[in-house]
Amino acid sequence: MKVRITESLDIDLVKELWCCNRCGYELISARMNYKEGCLVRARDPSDIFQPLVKNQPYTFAPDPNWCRIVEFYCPQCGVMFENECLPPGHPITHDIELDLEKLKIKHGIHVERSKGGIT
Amino acid sequence: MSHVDQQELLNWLKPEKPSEYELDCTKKIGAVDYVIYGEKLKLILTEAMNVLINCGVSDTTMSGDVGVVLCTAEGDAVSCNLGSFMHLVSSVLPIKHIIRRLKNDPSVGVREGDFFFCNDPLYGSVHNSDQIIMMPIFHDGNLLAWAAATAHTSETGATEPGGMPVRARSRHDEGMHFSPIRIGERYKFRSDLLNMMENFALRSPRTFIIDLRARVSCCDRVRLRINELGHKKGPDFLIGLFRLILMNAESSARERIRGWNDGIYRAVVFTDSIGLKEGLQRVALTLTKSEDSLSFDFTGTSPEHEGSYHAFPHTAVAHAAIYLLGWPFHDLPHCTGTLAPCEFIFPPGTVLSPREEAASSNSVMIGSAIMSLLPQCFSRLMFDSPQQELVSAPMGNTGSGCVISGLTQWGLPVTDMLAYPLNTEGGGGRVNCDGVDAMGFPWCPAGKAPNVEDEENNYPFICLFQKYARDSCGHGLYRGGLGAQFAIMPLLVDHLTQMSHAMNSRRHTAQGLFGGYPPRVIPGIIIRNTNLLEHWASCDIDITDDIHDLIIRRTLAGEYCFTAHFRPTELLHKGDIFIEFSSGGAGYGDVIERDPEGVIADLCNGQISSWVAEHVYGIVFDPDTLVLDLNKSKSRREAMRAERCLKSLPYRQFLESWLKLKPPDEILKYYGTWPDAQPNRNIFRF
Repeated sequence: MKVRITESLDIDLVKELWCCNRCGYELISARMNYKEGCLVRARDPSDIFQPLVKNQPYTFAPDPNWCRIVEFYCPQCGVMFENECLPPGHPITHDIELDLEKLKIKHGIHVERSKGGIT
Repeated sequence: MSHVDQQELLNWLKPEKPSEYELDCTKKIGAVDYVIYGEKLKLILTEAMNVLINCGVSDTTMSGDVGVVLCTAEGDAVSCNLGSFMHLVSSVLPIKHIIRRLKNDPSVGVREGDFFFCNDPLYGSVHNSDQIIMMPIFHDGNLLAWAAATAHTSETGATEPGGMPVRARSRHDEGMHFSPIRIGERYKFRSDLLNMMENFALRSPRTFIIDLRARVSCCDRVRLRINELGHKKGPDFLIGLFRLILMNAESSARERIRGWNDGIYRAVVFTDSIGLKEGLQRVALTLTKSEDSLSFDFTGTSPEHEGSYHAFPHTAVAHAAIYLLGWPFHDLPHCTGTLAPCEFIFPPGTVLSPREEAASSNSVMIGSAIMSLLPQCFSRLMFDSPQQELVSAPMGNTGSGCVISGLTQWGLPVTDMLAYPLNTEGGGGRVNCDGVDAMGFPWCPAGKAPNVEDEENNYPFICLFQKYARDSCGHGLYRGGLGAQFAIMPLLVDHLTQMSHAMNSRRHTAQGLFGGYPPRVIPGIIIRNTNLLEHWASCDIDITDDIHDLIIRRTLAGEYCFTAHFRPTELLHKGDIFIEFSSGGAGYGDVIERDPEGVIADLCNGQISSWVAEHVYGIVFDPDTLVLDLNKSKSRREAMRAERCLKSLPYRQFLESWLKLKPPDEILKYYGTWPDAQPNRNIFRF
């Protein structure tokens, strides 16, 4: 049984795995940071924000000394689950740490388990 | 120490314990009366809000950056008409100070016909520009309730015009700070105190005094209507109604929280300025949801500094209230009880919990970090819940505040913050739609952008254009709403001054959500010594109406100056063009999942550039006709997906190189230790 947790991330409550909502790829244990199961790339902000002014410190694009866009992709289909605009070298955020036991109870897994309904 | 300890102020935000008498009074309230008279209270406050906005004259007051709150005799807010949800928090605290510290002091006391003033953040105000009038409401000689009216008035006699000096190094640079003080008795102003207050605001005395009187008129309207209601239904009815609202709000909030997934949700955002200088700062939130309560822990936030971008803990809570009451609890009663399930943790010595002498006149600037953190955590919390439709990336949250000061074309001294850039920020991309273009003022979504004709009549400038700003949004499956561009030039006077308190020129505080991108950053721009007046004199009016085209093509002669978005006070002369942008909202979801037809529609409407359509969204189209080539677009997007996989690394491998990087030392001066943002300097204020 899969529960959708974000726009493009599911948790398989039976397997206790983070999964891609788009292609079903199984990323990593749902007890871990899903980002650890992703492909990751740090991009220069000017890849995404066009500098409109040349030879100036302020160009309408973020300064790469101040931030990079760190993107987290599905290794199978390449969808971007999340990105973080971080100062270079800043640790990655563990943004979702769910209480899996309570999540299972909410979605009736424990009831079905006791009835032998989960295989 | 006369002011209140920061932790004690936080404790005052909890509802007071009900007395037996109050609980007895609740039993007299039937279900129908509860609904009818709960709505009646809202109507009373709506009427009072209209009094405040129609009587006030500052740009922010007329735009609705105000609040009217009705409180119990003990100071808990039971109903409101807000403007800014911050004022639900900021109104309660000075009233509780009066009740706890002044009411029983024989040299002060609280009597019928009194009204009190407060604008000191150490006593509950958001910052000293947000000025509060509080009026007790008596029934047959007994204190029954309080009315509070707050409005932002942009002059406090600080070291720079406008009440939010970016050069402030301590509270001693910020001008007028009034702890709760009685400024009126027997329904009349004390003229000695009024004169003193006016003298603090000599850069804009007319605005200050009229706004002050508007607040008092507003409170008096609440008093009048509550008195009428008290005589009709009796004081016990009102006391019971008030307590029932508080109790129901808390139980409703707890019920809603119980429906969300238990767990820990983290987010971190970064700012690029402290007001005085540029510098990187971190604001971190760990949100723990357990059963029917929420814990907001801001451990990991950067240390306090020498600038003015600080907020005291209750101000940080006030910024959290903007999101909480505007989104997850938008349909619950807006009162002190609604926030009761929330606990807030602020380690001492951070930018959200500085020492008392810290400058905090720009508290709203660092507060914007909180407004960006909460949507991140709550969107993850609410996605798998009945409140999924409320999932949204953050709004622009930049608060592009520019203050003009000088003599008007009518010869009057004036200082005011221009409300148009504030009230045109983009909304965040949402779970099922784009953010709203030029949505409004994130601090006060109920506000409105002023009419340009009113602005030009009130202030000595001509507005060259105010319109959407292309590419200003964060991109995504659902893009953020666009911000706006705004350009003015002094007219009918030789000069005026401007000061900008803002940020987000090196990097943006707001982050995208679920793969959406943050909004574009914003430089400070002034074009000096233009020849625009000469063009106009020769009837050449076809210069440009878009700042992007102007700075790229340079169709107007002049010195193009690009700086950080925040700018200390500087002169603008006739012929100088001052540019301001409001921020777009952050994007939601992966850009390459956006409907190609939607991208083309944005391109045709001038909302995005062809560069963004091609490079960010991966769309292929005919550059002359802008007709979409769907097959080539699909191929292009498939190539982008493949490129992502080719150019990225598995997480562990990525970390090996990533964690060796570090920003240059010169931008880490105010950050704290790298990377955990712990205090590493002594801060001296004098």
